[in-house]
Amino acid sequence: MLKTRLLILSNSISFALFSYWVYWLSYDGSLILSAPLLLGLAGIFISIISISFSSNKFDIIEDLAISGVISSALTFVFWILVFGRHPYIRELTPIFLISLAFILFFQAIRRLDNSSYTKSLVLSELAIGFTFGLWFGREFEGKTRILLTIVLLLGIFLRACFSLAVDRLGVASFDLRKRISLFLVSVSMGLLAFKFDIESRAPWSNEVVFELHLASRNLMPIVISWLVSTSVVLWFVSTIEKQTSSEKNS
Amino acid sequence: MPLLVLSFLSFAVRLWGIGDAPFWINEADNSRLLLYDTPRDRIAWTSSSAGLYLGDILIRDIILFFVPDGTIHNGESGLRIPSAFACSLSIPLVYKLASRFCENDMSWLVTISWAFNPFSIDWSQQVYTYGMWPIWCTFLLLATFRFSSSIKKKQIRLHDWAFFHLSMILAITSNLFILIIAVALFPHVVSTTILNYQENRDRLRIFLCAYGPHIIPGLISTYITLKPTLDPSVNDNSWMPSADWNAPLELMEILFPYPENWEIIFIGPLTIFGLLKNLQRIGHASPILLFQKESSALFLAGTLQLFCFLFMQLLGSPSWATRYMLHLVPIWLVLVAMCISPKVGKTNLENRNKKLSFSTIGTLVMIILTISTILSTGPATDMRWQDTRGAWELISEDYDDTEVQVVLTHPTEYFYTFYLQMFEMEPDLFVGGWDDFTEEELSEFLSMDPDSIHRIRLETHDDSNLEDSLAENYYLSRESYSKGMVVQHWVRLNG
Repeated sequence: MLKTRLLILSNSISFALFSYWVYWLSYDGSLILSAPLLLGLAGIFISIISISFSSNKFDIIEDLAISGVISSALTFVFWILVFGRHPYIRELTPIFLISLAFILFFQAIRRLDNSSYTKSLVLSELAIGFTFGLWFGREFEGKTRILLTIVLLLGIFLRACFSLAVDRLGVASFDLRKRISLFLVSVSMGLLAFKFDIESRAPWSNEVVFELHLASRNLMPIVISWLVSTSVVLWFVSTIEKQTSSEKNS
Repeated sequence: MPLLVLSFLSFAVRLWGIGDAPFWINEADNSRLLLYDTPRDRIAWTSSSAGLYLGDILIRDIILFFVPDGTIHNGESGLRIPSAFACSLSIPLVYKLASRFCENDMSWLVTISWAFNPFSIDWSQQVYTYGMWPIWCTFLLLATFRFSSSIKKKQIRLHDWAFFHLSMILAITSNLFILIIAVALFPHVVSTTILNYQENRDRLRIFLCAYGPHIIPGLISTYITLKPTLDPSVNDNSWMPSADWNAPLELMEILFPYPENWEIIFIGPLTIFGLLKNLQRIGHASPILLFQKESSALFLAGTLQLFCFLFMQLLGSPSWATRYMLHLVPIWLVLVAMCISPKVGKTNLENRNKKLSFSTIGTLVMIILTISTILSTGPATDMRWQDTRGAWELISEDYDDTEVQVVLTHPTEYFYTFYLQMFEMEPDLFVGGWDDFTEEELSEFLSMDPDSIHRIRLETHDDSNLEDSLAENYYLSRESYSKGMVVQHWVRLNG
């Protein structure tokens, strides 16, 4: 158990170092043989060796993949906080969510586990919601981005594939209303991300570089309040109905 | 099928001479908004101090998609078609609303009266969104009444929810006048819920599911639209008229315009009598029971805006413009018809004979008024308040594209974009403003050393300052007039 935990820790650090190097590579395009790259690759190599010697290979692979994605995501947050905007800032957030959803779906199929399946569905829907909000905002503003469209389509495709497994894994255990509620919140998060993306500023900064179009400025507060209000209502209704049904059962 | 024929006939009447009149100044400005390339520009610049008009823009874009390009750019008719068509689309909805409150024959009379109502025909023949408001208004009423009926049956189906929420979205994103109707219907939905559900939890659930998603967006939308209205430097509302003692007569004339003042003699007493009978019946009912009645909700929806206008007048900002009430005309027609000949339920069949005489007289009067409304239909007017096309024809007579030409406009140049494109002019400078130009602005314009300066302005605008400034280097070669407009051609003195 301790060995596995140590392996996950080392794998997380390796992924963090390697992804840190990748973020720099995708930022300025210069291939530099640096310490993060070498240490990251060494750590990943250790992980691969450990997997080949372990008896329950798939369990280890899934755990390491999840830890790798999470540590890469945290490294990205660190990168953004320290160095500012990144050229692939728009796509990386949904890609992390989609990757996690995919790993969990793989786990669910292998273990026939409804809980992992539900998590994978929720994560993929969050990814689609966020990407859709960001994509729609940019399209409305006339700032089309092909890569973002591809990520959105990838998310929708994976979500469609996930739903094919419903016969085998059963209906998701998380209430549909709550799922829609989370989806609507993620769309509004995507719309907020679009606003800061177009204005070229961080949420905590007041230095607006480019103004949003007047139509976006007028509609944005209304649309976001609609999404959030609907999401709160759906969550509330779901909770009330759950209480009512449990009272009836008791 | 008869409704389809009636809508088609009504649309045909609206098309009759639709392109004859040149744009008056507001239409000229609105025409520019329709010709923006992207939806976001149309959304941004169509929004005004009354609303966002999202539904109006969508429906207008859909209709314009089917109108040939040549019709849109080479005359006024193309841009007027969407409003005329949309107003005709409201006819089946008005019938549906009327049949909820009146007997079938009376519902038809209301619908025909609306289809050929001269006030609605005239305003739907202009480049304005007024023609679309009756759709949102009647749809909102129908969706809310359908929803409240399903609450009464305790069987709210998915499409009841869908219609209700769609109507609320349309109301919030359309304009404040439609939103007022949604506000007027709020007590009806709440009282119906309270009376039909005993458990507080159920009441809260229905109330939250119905209005929870819309309260904050509605408030934000109201704030966004009202913000510029409350700033007099941005929005000059001083032109808005006040209501006086003739206002009720004016409203009656909108409903039944022909023959003159007959409606006061016949329909007025009948309506008042019918209303008193109803009041007698509901006099002792508690407010919650009163609000639960669909007829009370309809009455509130048809009058709340009037009370708002009167209240604003008391506060010193009158806004009694009858064109803002176009969408209320079908509600008023239904209210009048309902007072004269209300729908008789199965249980009230026995009382029918007692009501027959009153109801028959009322129906006969309605038939006469409806026939006179139909007979009053004719082609669209060929002139409104200003003749902006005529003014541009005058400019084009003096325009010489081989020289340096400047066009100074009043109001802003945006008002004239449509005709500038139509007459294919490309002046070296095309600029304007609501107020007089400053000396710096004028000297900047004149630094181009133009050979000719064309001045186009509203007749009511005092232009003596500009004339004095121009007279130093230019002489007035020609001053001509089209209705409500003045056009001047100034030529350089040493030219």
